[in-house]
Amino acid sequence: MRWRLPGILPLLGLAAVGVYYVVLALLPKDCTRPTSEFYVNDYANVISSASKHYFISKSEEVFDLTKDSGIGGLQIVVATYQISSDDEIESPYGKTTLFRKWEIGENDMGLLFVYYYKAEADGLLSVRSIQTETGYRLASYLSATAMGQIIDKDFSRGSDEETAMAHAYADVLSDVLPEAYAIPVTPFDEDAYRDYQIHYDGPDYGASEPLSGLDYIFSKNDFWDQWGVPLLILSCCLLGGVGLRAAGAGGSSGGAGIVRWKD
Amino acid sequence: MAYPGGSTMRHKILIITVSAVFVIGVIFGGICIGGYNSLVKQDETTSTNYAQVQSLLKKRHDKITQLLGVLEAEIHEEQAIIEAITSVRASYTADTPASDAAETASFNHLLAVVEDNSPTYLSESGFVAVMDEISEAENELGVGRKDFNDSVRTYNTSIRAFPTNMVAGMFRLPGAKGYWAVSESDAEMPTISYSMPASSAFGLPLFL
Repeated sequence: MRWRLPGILPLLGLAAVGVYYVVLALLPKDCTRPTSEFYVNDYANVISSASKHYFISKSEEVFDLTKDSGIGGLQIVVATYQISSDDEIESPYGKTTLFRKWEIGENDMGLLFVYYYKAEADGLLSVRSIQTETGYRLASYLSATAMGQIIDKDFSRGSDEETAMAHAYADVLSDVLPEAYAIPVTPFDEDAYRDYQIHYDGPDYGASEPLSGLDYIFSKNDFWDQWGVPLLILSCCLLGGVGLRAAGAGGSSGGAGIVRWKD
Repeated sequence: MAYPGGSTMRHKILIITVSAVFVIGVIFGGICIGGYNSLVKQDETTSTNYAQVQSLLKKRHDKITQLLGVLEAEIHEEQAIIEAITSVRASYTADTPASDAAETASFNHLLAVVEDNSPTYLSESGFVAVMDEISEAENELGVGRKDFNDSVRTYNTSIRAFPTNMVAGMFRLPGAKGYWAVSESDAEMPTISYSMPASSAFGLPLFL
């Protein structure tokens, strides 16, 4: 029996996809890529599903509310990394590199929180450094002074670090949304947040996994600007809709933001 | 006697030659146009990034000047601090890498002197707020320097690499550009620490 070329093409395609996923499984994870959830990248595995759900749902809501405002859609992304020594945060440009790679925020209206965790003597993970990177345009609405005061206040009030993260996140929204978009914000209530965490029965997000190489390319904003709708449909058919995932809105930054180290 | 078909053969050779010259011309023209546009774009990027460094240098200088004013007004009894403030003021003379590094070094020295002579002042909220602004300006300047040096590296590589080196020579584009030479250790700024109650460390079963 002779194989005809058109008949063998789907098989070759399937084989290529199979090889891709085998190679992917063997390669080390690249945690400089975002996760498919985009707004939460918990590579230190320290954030509960309740808080992940809070960050993701709030961020999606905020982006939907702000994207047609004319200023640019606001995207706030949270990332955690575990380090074993301070030297691992070697480059002062690390947060800027992540921000630019993830293209956070529409019209540079983006904010990245990076929390570096380190194991204490008792083995528990604790925040070692908090770094924020503010998009070029957002920097005019959120100064370093304001950002620093939010972090100092929320991480010194004695709450657990996860609640402090949520509080800082909410305080940024309280600062930016009314001023930049004239959207009123209800103040964060720590007791209500703890109650929400205790009674949370939403989706279980599990451990954060970075996007694969192909998914990452498909998730990028400029890729779709270039290749358009036909590839989006094709990718949905072939790869289960990765192209429809939330992703960076094309923002950039230039080092604005703050850096805090724990004593 | 004319060779049978000789005219047709010459005609074919002529067509092939003209076509080959045309194709080579198109390729050469493409390389020239593409290379020239790429080099001009890279040249413009270096100029933009240079202007950005200048602007960020000025921004950091303004923030430091603001802090010096506050320090002078509030800690005027410490002679060592006054001398360090004067030294910072004298260090910034021009928008050059040397002046950039000198200002960072003298400012770091000032902070060390303040820490020795008036340690509690460093944790006051007003000081921390201005330091946040200065640290941010320094981070931005660091990114600006890196962006500028990256763009210079790209341009310098292009004007030496084939075939863009020919294009650069033909159109007399600017030669290799100088880097903004400030080492990371010279540009390093002090970090701000925050204290957090021990009971707040992640993992304690406060609510889970």
